[in-house]
Amino acid sequence: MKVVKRVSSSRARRLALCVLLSLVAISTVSCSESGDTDATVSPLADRFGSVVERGEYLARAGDCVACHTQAGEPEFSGGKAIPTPFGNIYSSNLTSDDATGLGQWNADDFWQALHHGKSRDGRSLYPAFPYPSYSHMTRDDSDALFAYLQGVPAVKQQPPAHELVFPYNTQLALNVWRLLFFRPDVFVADPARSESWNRGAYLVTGPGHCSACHTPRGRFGNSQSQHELAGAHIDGLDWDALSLRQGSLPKEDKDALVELLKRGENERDVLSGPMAEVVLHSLQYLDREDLGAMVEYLSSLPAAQAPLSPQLSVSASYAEELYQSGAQVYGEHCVDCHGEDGHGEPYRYPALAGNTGVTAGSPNNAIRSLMGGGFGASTTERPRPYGMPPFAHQLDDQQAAAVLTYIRRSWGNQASAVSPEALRKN
Amino acid sequence: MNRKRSRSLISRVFPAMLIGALALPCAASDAMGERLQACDACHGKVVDSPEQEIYYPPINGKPVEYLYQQLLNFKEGRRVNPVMSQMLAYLSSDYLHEIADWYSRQEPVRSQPAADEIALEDPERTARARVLVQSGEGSVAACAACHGGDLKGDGVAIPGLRGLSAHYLTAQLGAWKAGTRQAREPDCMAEVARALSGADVDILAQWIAAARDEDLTTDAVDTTKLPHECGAIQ
Repeated sequence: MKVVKRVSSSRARRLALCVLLSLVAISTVSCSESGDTDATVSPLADRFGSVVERGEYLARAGDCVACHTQAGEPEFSGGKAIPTPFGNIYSSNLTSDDATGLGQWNADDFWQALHHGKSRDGRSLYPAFPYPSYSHMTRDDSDALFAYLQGVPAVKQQPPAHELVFPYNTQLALNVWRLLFFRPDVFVADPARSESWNRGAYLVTGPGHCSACHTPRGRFGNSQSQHELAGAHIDGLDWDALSLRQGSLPKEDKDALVELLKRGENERDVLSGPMAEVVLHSLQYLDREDLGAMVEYLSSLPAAQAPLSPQLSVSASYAEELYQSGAQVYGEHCVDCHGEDGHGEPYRYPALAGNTGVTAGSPNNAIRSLMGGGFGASTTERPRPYGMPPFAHQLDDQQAAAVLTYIRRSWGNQASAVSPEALRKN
Repeated sequence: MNRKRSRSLISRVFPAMLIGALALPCAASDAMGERLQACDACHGKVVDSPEQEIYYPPINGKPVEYLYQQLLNFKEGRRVNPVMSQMLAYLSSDYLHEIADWYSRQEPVRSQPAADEIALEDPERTARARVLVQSGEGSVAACAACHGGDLKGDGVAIPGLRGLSAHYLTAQLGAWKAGTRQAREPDCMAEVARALSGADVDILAQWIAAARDEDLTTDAVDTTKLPHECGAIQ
């Protein structure tokens, strides 16, 4: 009885809070757009021959094409389903088409969307469009991006209506969300820091919108700023975005990261999963100086790891059993490429020893890579990537858990053992 | 991240340079075989007898444009297979075409029929299969009209059907009927598959997988008079 009572009273409190917030929202929504500056100059200004060129670079940095293009359709024509825990959201058409794209928009409309998260007709936009990050972009960069998009050939394609469940499909809920979790906020350079640090901070927190995946989200899809960039599970894609806060890195590690982001691989590592997509459409096109600036900024943040969802644990004796049988599986299927020492082959097969993707707190990414395989991204510097075979139809759950346990605990790796149960969902 | 590696850099780079120099004359292939081991794990298995039947289609020696279209179909969602989609998701069209070209030039890994001759022994089923393969019926075009009397395909876009397992053929015809395998419009194979009954799909798959040279004709494909319009071969 006691429990029931507690639940119902907390539910009533929540309801009351919602009603109150809704009222506040209604009364304040119309005045939430004042109080920002549009005079800030972009850290990327003066780099490009023309405004349109800068806009194109920003479109790359923002990876607009990844969400605003359906597979096999013209770039920026929208209509791609973005899975969220609240239902599918369909990306808008950014081409210059008058009826279904941005043909009728002007630079002020675009700024209102990018900076304030509001469409041309004043309706609030869903933050699947990462305007909490884009809001940091300067007005001149917003104008440049808009100028570029206006030159994208018109494609007539109306995106399907969003498929969100109630109450998330209402403007009221969205406005409450905005009131709680969103403030328009242009990037302001920190004069105590270097020019490159500021440029990196701008790219990471603004156009790059790294936090959209790498910062964990709360119950309502809100970024948990206390764990900014400290790693998160991407619900819709079922991959983990690793923590970008590794603390201060030595120069050789920073250089290796720049190469990883530019080529999609470096001597030891390969980017896979959604991060390979980011390399494919976005990072490979950024100047090394900008990638270096982003790494410099990230390396200046204190090391942090966001709390993980509960992991399946394995007893010490069972872990040892898995490790022993995993060694056999490794010898049979993995050793030819990844080597006895787990060091792989430079630029061919990634090292598993010291690989942060392999040793992450959650084995999720390692499971996905092992079972699903995959090629890294084709980039200008690495047009023909090597591929990892899928093992889903060669290894059963027990063997997969065993080999993952072996890999996560060999050659100095000290991650947790993997329970066969963790493989079940795959 | 890179500490141990740098110590052994010279010992690794030097042999790599030597190998690199030796490999120069064959730079055209650019180690494609090694890059594509991930594909060979399923598609490159050498199969010598029907008892070794595996589901995955052998792709060595298939027509280049056919393979390329399939890679695009997987990548762009017209063919639904989560493993293939994850494999190909981040590859450029140029590389996909190179992959198709590479496999089109490899020796086929299977020369024997992919199923036991037992499928050929039932006279009623065999007669029905011959009708569907060689003459067609109503709106269902003969298999041979596009894939050739020998079912070895034609040109750079029409694939051969020999060496495919009955399971694979059944699954593909079923996928076309269900819409989980599609091709660029107009999707000719979808039209054919939708016109086939489930029983005919079963008969065809069993018979084609078991067919020997002597069960087939040598009729050539008349590419000026294909019975259906196919987006994938235009």
